[in-house]
Amino acid sequence: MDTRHTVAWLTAVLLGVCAQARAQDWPQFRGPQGTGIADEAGLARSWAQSEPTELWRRPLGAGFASLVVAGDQIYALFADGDDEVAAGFRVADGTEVWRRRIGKTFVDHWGNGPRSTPVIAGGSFYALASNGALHALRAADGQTIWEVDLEARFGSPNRPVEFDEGAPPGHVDMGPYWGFCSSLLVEGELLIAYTGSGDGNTLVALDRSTGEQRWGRLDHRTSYSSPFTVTIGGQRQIIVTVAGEIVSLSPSGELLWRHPWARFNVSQPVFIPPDKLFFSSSNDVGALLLAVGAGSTAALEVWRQPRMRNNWQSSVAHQDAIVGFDNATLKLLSLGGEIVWAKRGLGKGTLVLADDLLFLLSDRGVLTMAEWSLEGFRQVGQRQVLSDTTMTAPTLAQGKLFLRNHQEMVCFDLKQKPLAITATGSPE
Amino acid sequence: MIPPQETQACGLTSLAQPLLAGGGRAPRNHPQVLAFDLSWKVFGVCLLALLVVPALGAETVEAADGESLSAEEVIARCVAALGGEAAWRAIETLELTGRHTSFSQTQDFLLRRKRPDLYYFDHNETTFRVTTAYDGETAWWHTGIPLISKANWPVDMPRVYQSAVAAEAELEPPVIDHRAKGHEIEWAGESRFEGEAYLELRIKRRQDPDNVERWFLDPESFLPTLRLSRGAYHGYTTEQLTYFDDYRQVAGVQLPHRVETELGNDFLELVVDSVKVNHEIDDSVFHRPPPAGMELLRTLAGRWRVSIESLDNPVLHPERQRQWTTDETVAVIHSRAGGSLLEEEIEVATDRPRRARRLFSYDRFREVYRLAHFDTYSQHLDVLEGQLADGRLVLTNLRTDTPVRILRLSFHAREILHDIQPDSFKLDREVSPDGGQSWVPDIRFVYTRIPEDD
Repeated sequence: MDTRHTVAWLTAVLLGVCAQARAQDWPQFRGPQGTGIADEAGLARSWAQSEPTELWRRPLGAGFASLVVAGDQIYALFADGDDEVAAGFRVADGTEVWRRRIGKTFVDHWGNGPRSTPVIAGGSFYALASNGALHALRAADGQTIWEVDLEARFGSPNRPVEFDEGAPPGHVDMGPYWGFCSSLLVEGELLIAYTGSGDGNTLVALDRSTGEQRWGRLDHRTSYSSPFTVTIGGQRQIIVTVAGEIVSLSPSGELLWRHPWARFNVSQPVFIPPDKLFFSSSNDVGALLLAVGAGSTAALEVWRQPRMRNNWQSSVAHQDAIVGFDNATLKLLSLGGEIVWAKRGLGKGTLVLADDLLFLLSDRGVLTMAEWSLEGFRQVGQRQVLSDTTMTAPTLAQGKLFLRNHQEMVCFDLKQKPLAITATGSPE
Repeated sequence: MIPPQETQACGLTSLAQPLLAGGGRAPRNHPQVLAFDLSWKVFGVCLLALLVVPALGAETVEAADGESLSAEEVIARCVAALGGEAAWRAIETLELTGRHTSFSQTQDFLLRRKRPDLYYFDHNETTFRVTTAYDGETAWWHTGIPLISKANWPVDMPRVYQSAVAAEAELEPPVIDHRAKGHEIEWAGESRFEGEAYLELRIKRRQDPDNVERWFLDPESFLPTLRLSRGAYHGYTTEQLTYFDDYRQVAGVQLPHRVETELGNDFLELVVDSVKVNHEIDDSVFHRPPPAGMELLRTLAGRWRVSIESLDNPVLHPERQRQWTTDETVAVIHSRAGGSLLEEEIEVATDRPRRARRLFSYDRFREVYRLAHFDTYSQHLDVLEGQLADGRLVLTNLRTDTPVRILRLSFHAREILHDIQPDSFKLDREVSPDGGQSWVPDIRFVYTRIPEDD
């Protein structure tokens, strides 16, 4: 191949790569669809020793809330001394653009700071502090649009109302022991928030323009899971796991169906089109696959799998399989519920999926990249990227991976690198 | 006894298995397609079978070298791989230090073992120091974690934890001298678990024969690699998976230096950095300590010869020359509830003969000492409270206001425990007819310890 042909070939390849690397936001908990999957392409399939390339790293206060990305800003909630704050940073270099106090810092032996992941929609940024202070801010500059104190307005407890050590797992109906930690959800013009207040206002829908309440439902208390939306059979549904059951509501708040489930559930439901929902819970509960019936008035149990127990981590579904952590063992389940393969040694991790690649972040800051495979675990890269404990799942947007722990936030470039051209014109 | 030895290593363990040892193979993390259906129904049937069906009979398995092995030979190879029974018998104590990970945070740990089954494990979980121990009869712990225990002082562990900790407490793996210890071991043949091939032993320990532990051996090294057992988590019984890895030779035995445990929501990891063998460890380490305040009174437990001096009618006839009378008796002070309570039985034959029962305790919440006194003369339960200062424990019933009342008078009491020595102490009892404004002597006791062989 002569030099002209080589350059032409490389140009074509590079243009192809660039065309596939579409900018994609991550505006809410678990990504654009709330599934833990980013719609990315053109990601590097392996890492050289210095990869993935670290674009920037900056200090960040304590917190568990996931990072969200929209446009040219990445947003974080964290503790800043006695205050919990929301802040916007430039995606390009991590420079802080704005910062706004949103509440009082939640202090806990397992880690301080906010748990609830914010959501961005229509230029507005919605953030829930651990003490129940709910804020609507302008995403561009953090200016307040409105705010509502969920604890004051709905009487939500922020510590357990009772606790019985000897009770069976999940028996006790506690208040939000770790503060307000369910993530927010935008559904059309509604902002959905889990208050845990009981008395018909456990799940509330607010007008996201004004903060006015549109409806309130459910009487449950504890849930550490977050509301999730899905469309099944043309019916938009808000799925929420509460103490003892799974509940589906229409966007206007009508009950569609309910199904018994764990008393204590943290992980998120996983949608398996066209009509299946996967749930997994720790405390020896295991996993459950439901099929939502025609008319969305009932959900039928398809199978249970006791050896898939997501704790605070959630699974992803892709290509007729489900991958998630059973405590500290990564497992791939077939859609029939069989464990196809299992992999230890990744810690108690979190994961996201993009471009047929799994990005697994261990609770001790080791990032592993693996090819999606039904045949077995196929690791293609691993690197220690955070020096201390993290329980926050990665955020993957715009070809970049964003990670955080209680001390810092870091951004890596995941895109496939353009091939270098040597003096002879050969790709290297 | 072999002399103390110490090794330095970098490796790990988990909720401290007695194993810990060498020649191990690489971590068993290779992905493999699982060979059996794990749907929940099938799993339930398998679990039921595990619980109710006796372990499979002996069969033969082909060793890596092509030799066919019987069940006994598999067990013998496991024992040999672990270093052999002679080497294990020579170990009286083990003291391990290293790093323990729980709740995703890694901190230091200290693990002490003493033959046959004394166990002490000290580590940190988040900001809490947690001690778990077994004194040969009872497991106790000291944890301030509110989700785990309401008591932030040393207490006996709930019943659900007892057998798991007792099993954990055995100094050596259960295959070592298993017949002498009364453990039953049956061989389940070749087995697979989550894609890995093993040789499986099923073990019933003498102390807990209803609990079948599944031990999975590496088919090549015959070292235990995985144990499925019954554990306890947040007050309920659940399956516990314990993985043994990074075996290293220490004092002739193989010890895993990395142990990972999956139990309930917990993922625990123990990495052993150093091991001391036959290091002197006092038995008291393994016993639940009494409340801090009672440690000062521990010496009161025992049998005592008591010299008594008492005053006749000290208050009712103050104008009369009071007469001291003397007597002698024997008192027994029992240590109850691990030293949290001292119970004295004493019989006094003065002009007011009585048998008395006296309970000494320390109220950790109000930070006061308390004496509950009942005798057959007054037939009254008197409660005195007070503080220990400068070696003197001064107790009164002024605050509890439980005095003896005669006619219109209330006789408050004050007891002063002083000169506390290992083999003697003194107790002065005084009474007050005026609500504590003045005190007059009543009885003086001098306790002298009666030697145990007396």
